[in-house]
Amino acid sequence: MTPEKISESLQHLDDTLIEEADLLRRKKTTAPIWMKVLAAAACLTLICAVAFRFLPQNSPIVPPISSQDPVGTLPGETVFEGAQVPSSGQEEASSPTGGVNQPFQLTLAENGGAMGFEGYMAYDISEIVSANPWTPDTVLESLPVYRTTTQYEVGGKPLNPDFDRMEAFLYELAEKLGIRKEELTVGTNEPDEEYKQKVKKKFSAIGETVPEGFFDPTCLYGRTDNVEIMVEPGLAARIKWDPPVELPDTYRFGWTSSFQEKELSAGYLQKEFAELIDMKEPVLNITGGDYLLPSDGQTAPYPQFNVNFYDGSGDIVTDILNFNFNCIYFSGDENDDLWLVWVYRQDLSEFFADYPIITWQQAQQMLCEGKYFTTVPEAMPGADHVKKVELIYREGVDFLIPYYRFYVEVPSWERDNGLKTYGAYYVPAVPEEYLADPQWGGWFN
Amino acid sequence: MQDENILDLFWQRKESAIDETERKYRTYLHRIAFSILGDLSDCQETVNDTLLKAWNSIPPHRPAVLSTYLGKIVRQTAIDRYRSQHRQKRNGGEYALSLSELQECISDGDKTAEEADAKLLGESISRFLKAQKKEARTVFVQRYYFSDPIRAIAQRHGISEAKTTSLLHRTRLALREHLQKEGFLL
Repeated sequence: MTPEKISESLQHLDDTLIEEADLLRRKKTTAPIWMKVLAAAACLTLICAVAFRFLPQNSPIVPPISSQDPVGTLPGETVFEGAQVPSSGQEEASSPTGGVNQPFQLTLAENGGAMGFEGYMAYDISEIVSANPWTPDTVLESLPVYRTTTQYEVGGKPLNPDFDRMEAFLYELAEKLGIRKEELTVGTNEPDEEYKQKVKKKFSAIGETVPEGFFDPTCLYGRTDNVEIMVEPGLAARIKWDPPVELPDTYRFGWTSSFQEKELSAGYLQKEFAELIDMKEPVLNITGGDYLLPSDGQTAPYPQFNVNFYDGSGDIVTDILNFNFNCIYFSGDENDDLWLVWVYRQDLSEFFADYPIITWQQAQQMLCEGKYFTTVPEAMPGADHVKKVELIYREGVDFLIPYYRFYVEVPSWERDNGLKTYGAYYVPAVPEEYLADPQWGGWFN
Repeated sequence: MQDENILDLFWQRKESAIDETERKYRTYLHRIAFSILGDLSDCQETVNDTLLKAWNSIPPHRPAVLSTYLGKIVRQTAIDRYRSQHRQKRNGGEYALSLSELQECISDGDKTAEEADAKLLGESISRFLKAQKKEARTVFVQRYYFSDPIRAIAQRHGISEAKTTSLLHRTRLALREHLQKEGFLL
């Protein structure tokens, strides 16, 4: 008797056993709603960060894109896990499509849950801005696709955080801020005993026990008297000052500051935080222009802008990667002071392959044929309503993949005051034959 | 397209049956083949072979569940290919790992050396699995039939990788005992 013999005999397993196990493979993992809420609450900061991080333009919303693959792609599951992959060194990225010997298909499943739809309000599309190095005139034959290295459970909890790597990043940032190691108090976000007991009671009330690892830490903190650095597994770091860092009175750096005011403030911040920014050729990327409806103290809708920098010293592909994955955001508070910074350094160590890229015109053709993903609860209203396009990367469960994001004016949503809503519709920039059974049409249509 | 319609195409000997099957089940078959072989080009060839075998066997077969039928074909085809490669000392993917784990189902120094009929053995294992709890048997089938990675299994069952490994270990030991009782192992 050999293991091979047993394995071979499994060909004769009763079909009902195979079908039962296969059915579970195809299903998405589910959990009780309250359990999801608990998990979501514990990871809210992380989820927000990921959302902010991977929608570099200005979106406050994470569009949920999940696989509707008829054979099922499980959340967090990697098709190639544990096996040889056509992975090569980053240096091979210079060889267009060289890594793809045949049209191996990419899975498009993404983490995340329904958080509303992704839309931008403005009187005119020209108000929605960014310093995306990609423009409609950019000619690209291929772009690299990377494997996602940080995996998440349902609810957003990261799997197997690499605390050594997070700690190294924490100390690096501290040093750039002029904080010595010994000045930092380092800890994690593991909940205290009181919280644990409350959660255990909650589980117990439904006859369950707390899943293993439920309370495991997911973030690393380094604190001084006035600075807190938090590092997440995907190497997104939040630096928060208390009290906030005051800017000279001449600068306006608040929530409602205009593009020009943010631009002036950014010049000051770039000088003051040159060491933290630490880029060869920092490119100021003021994103936003999306209007917010008036709240307390406001009388009219106002546009909001974010200030960030990315390194623009490379070729166009490197700049696109930096724009999407390696950047630093500065946020002001209501007093025009700097209160927090987000530093993003996506792990691109697992280069998968270069994939050929379709043009935005080809993508728009697909968009008009209904081959798109969106969270907008309206069908694409037609080519006449497409007002803008840009290329961005999105993080999937398995891969980091380039997409074209189309801003489409939704006619039925124009307000009486003239404010329009531009819905985001996504078409993968990788040709359709390289996609694993995409289920077009979005999730709200 | 519904499986019934695809089967109709097979029975009518229309080649579009192959296209429709590939369109619907390509990813599914790829995943099974890839878990066993761990190589993209081999995986593609295995899927192509699977489609050809389906064409040659339907009719006379008319499987009740097409995915299970195709899954069995692709698994066997991939295992055959794996064996051929293994003789050439090439490594496999998850399948090689799952095989090494199954060693635990066999008594040390087992000299049975019998060529027990695979079908009878499969039926015995089916009986064993049906007597196990649902979690234990589905985890076992996913690991040793589909060669799914432990991490993926753990995620879909909402348990840790350590618990998954431990569950598999206990099930393997219980299977060994069962096979001994049924006379497959000395």
